[in-house]
Amino acid sequence: MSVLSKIIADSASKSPWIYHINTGSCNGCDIELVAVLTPRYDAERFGFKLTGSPRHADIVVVSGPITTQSEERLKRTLEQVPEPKCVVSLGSCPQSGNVFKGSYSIEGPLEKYVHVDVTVAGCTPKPEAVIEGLYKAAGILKKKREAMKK
Amino acid sequence: MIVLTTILQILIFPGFLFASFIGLLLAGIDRKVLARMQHRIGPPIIQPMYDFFKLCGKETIVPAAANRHVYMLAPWASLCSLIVMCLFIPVGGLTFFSGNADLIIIIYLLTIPAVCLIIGGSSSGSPYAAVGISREMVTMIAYELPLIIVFLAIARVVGRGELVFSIKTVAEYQIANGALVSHIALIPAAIAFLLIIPAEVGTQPFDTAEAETEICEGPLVEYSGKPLALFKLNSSLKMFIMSALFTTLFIGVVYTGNVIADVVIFVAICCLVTIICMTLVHAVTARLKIEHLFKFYWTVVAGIALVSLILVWAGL
Amino acid sequence: MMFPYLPLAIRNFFTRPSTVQFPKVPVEAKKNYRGWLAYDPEKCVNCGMCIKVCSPSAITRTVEPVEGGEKITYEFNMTSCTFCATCVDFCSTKAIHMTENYHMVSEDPKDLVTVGSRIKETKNKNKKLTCGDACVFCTLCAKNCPEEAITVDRAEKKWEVDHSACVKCGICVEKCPKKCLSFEEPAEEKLTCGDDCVFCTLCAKNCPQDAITVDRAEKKWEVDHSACVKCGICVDKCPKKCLSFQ
Repeated sequence: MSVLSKIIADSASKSPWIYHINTGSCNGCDIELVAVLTPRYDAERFGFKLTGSPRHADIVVVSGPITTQSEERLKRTLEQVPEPKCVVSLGSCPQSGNVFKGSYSIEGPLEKYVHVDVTVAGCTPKPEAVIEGLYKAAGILKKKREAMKK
Repeated sequence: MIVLTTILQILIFPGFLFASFIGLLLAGIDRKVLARMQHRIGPPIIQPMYDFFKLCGKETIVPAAANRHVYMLAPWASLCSLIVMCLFIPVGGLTFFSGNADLIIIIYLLTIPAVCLIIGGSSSGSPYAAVGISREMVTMIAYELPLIIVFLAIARVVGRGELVFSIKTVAEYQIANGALVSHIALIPAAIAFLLIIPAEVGTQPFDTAEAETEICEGPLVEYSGKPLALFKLNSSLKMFIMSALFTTLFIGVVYTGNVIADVVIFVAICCLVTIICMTLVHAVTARLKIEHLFKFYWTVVAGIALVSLILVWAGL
Repeated sequence: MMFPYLPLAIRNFFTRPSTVQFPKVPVEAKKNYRGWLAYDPEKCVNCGMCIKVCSPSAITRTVEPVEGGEKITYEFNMTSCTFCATCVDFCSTKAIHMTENYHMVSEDPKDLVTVGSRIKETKNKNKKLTCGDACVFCTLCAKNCPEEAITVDRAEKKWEVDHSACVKCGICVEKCPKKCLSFEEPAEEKLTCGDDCVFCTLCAKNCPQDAITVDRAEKKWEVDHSACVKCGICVDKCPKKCLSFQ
């Protein structure tokens, strides 16, 4: 069965499905994320696909500072994603709140809720930087899958 | 010996392995050609195989509100019916199951995967799935009518005045009289069948029921891991079966004497059918609303098929 | 039913795709792209303007005393930066500039910072801000001072600076329309005799260095500044209290 598990582990990095959560973002980073799927940058050649349900996803991309209203929904959505999963924080908002730091409705960095695997900084990051971040996340998925097998 | 041959036929050729391999390949070609039409590079052709294996490796989470047994068994039931359907289709001129009422059995077998999707979706206990399954039911009712009319027309032509539903007779008729699609009376039936294929398979613009970002993937919303892998495989298998049915019924079998060459030509014609009726339509249209879909199938497509039926009954 | 994109779809199938294959083909950002920040600690004068204007508070300054002065470290956190380049505009010595590097991807957010430090030596502390005679009390220097160390009273024509708050950034020197501000070594204090002197020669008699010469008849008082050690004995002994160090 080791050939089969090797095939499964390789496929984990070749077909990463993305689910995007917007926790109060200004939408700049969201626009750059869907721009990555347009013909000019075409992330689909690496197998990336946006799915409609968190249960189908491998990589969860979070943008936006975590607002009070979206905190509960973020926690529930993150629980629904099956293992192995990778969390990517897009932009500088999930890391530190950017200009919204210290506001009464910002709940704080994403690190409080889940371990962030890849950080893509920028306000907003260039689509090429987003592709680099997603590519790195796909590589981490393969390692997690191999670790899961053991 | 017969048992061993049958098991090999079921599992390898043209059963599970062959059909799923070709089905995944067709799905990959569909995605690649769609990408090229949209002026981008697109995934590699074996991408659906990577998707399948990746989904096999994911954790399966069964929601608390779901009925566990139905949830896990629904994809297996539809896989079984699809494999049985594969055995009816003469791939490369070799027929495995043949009887007197093949086409009628195929009509019933074709409803099982859609019903299994409905059952699986309703067992997961999600409101998104509820919306998805009601749309799937409407879609099924919409395309069944033109399908039955097309099969009736074919049966009448092949039976020369009587109704003969055997695929073997269809194949022999085509060897003797040329491809069915060259009969003037059956051209509308071929067009109607080409329009039914995307609704059966569930690709745009007729995928209002499933795989939609509006209702979070419809009936499949709570599926993950191996059951989801099986559902995606079923979708690819259906792609293969529908294009193979079209090839068998309308274009006929090309005999070159060599079995392997026959199979390759058969698969190539399936690819062409897929590109014309699924990819091209996907690339240039947007998704339809469910009421428009129903109206389209029961007026336009059924009308085209009826034209064919009337012409056939009139003796043309 | 119209399908306006059908000929386009078929034509696109046969032409080359317009994808830029990014990781294989390196892509450069356009000119003037505001990417990863670069900081030159040697040019920095520690005025703190960048910290004041940074809206997401992405810049932090730490000062540690080391041998010979202070070590001032500025840290620019790219995971908090909004890339507005306001700090670049406000830096008076152009120590900050934005590079065109957009590859800010990492598994550890601590990699995404720019840090620079310099050691500020204490001997420079001797230079003090002085205002010349051409001052018209326009108050421009006081308004532009980031530390609010200058106080200018226009009505009473008074110009004062708080030397402990002044960080010697030089903004006031640039802003002054009369160019009368400058940093100078403070002049050494010299012994001076006021107008009340009656030439009693008590200071000359008590000077241990014999630095003072007093001529009673010609009413002349002179001091040899090179010999004077500023002990202050003459200041104590003078009956008219007209001697002082200025």
